[in-house]
Amino acid sequence: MSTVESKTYRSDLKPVWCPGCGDFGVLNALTLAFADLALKPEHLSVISGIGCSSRLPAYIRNYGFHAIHGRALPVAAGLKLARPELHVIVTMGDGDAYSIGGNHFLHAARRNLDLTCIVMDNRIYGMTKGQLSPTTPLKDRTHTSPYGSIDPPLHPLVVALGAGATFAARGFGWEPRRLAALIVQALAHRGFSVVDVISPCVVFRPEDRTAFKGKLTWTNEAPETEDRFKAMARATSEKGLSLGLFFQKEAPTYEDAIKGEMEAAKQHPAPVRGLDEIVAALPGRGE
Amino acid sequence: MKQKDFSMLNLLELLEIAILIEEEAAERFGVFSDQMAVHHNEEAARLFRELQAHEAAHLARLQEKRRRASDLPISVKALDLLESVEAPPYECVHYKMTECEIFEAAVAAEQNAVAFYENLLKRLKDEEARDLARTFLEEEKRHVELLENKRGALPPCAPLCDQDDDPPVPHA
Repeated sequence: MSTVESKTYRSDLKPVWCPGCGDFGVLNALTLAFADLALKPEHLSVISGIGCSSRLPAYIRNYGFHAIHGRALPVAAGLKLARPELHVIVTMGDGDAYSIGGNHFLHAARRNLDLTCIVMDNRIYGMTKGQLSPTTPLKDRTHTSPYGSIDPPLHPLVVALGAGATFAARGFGWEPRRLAALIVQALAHRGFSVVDVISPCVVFRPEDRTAFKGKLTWTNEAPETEDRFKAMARATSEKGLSLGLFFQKEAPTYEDAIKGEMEAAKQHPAPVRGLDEIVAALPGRGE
Repeated sequence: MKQKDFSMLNLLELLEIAILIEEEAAERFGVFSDQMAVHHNEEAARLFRELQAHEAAHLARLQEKRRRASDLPISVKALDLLESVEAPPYECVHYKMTECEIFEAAVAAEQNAVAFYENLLKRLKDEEARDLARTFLEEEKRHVELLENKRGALPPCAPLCDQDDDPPVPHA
């Protein structure tokens, strides 16, 4: 009931996700967050890769780009550098973000690009019918691990924090209002913000319909620490799955660094060497 | 991410919270109806649309009440409410959902609303707001009764897996 209604951000397309999918809650949360901040649709761009989660830009009434598998972050980075005034949101799945696009995830985090990265983590490749993903629990049987996964799962927030993300949070797709509150904080953060969202796949992990009941606990509004290692410990607590904001720290963004670089280049242009000079410096030429 | 302190709500704020609750319930039933239509379950889509209309009518009555109560701008923000109260949870649906299961989900949602207002009444301090909360509580109880009667007229629900020709298989 804010002055802007969340439904104004919804497109006319009806999602084709399976009934029960956690991604519906993420879509709901995202539009609630946009409405809460009264963001203008023309100031928003949602970039995705490939997968069930990556259909999301089609369901929102603002700019968007459905990129290729694992490459949502480079596209988003280019857009943000070219149009720094836009809110650039990247929606990915766990395969897209942490496996196929894992390298881009690391480098976007260490550069502290001002992007809001929302990963719909269902712990499986759903669109391609149930192969194990980087977050599939150890020993879980999938179509590509019929005897149980032998790969220890990756801890998304530990990776994000280790790589240099300045905002790390975890939400739950079936709790859209609390998730929306987290996304509001992520959108307001200047720097690389990661919201890892547990977004159950009820078709290829049907046990997840009930797996999280009584196991999720929400932390307070503000992170208790600016210590990355303590935040990692909280995010991987064995007591249950913690949800909420674990870490937030202000730091110069990549856009700040690029601006500085451009100013430096204007004031002190790099010396341009002539072709003769370059050829003369090649091995064997100067002898 | 702190929940607004509901014990301090005044009459207008409570009315606005109730509007949020009904808005979300209507929206959720609409989403479920679309889901069923996309997955070719026309019967379930129709029933969810009816439930959406029911919630939308309740919402319209509350909005009218709010308009009559005051010219002041709305003071409660959508995210002052962090819990879904009367909206059935996303995980309650299945692409082959039957009428029986839909009524069970709707009853559970209304029971959740009853629990919310009962809990609120234990904490609310403002007398006018308490009177209004009692009214809402009685309304929600009537909705539970109405839906339970409809549910009771139907045969028992079949287990989810019996309706699915190709049921998902747990991987753990």
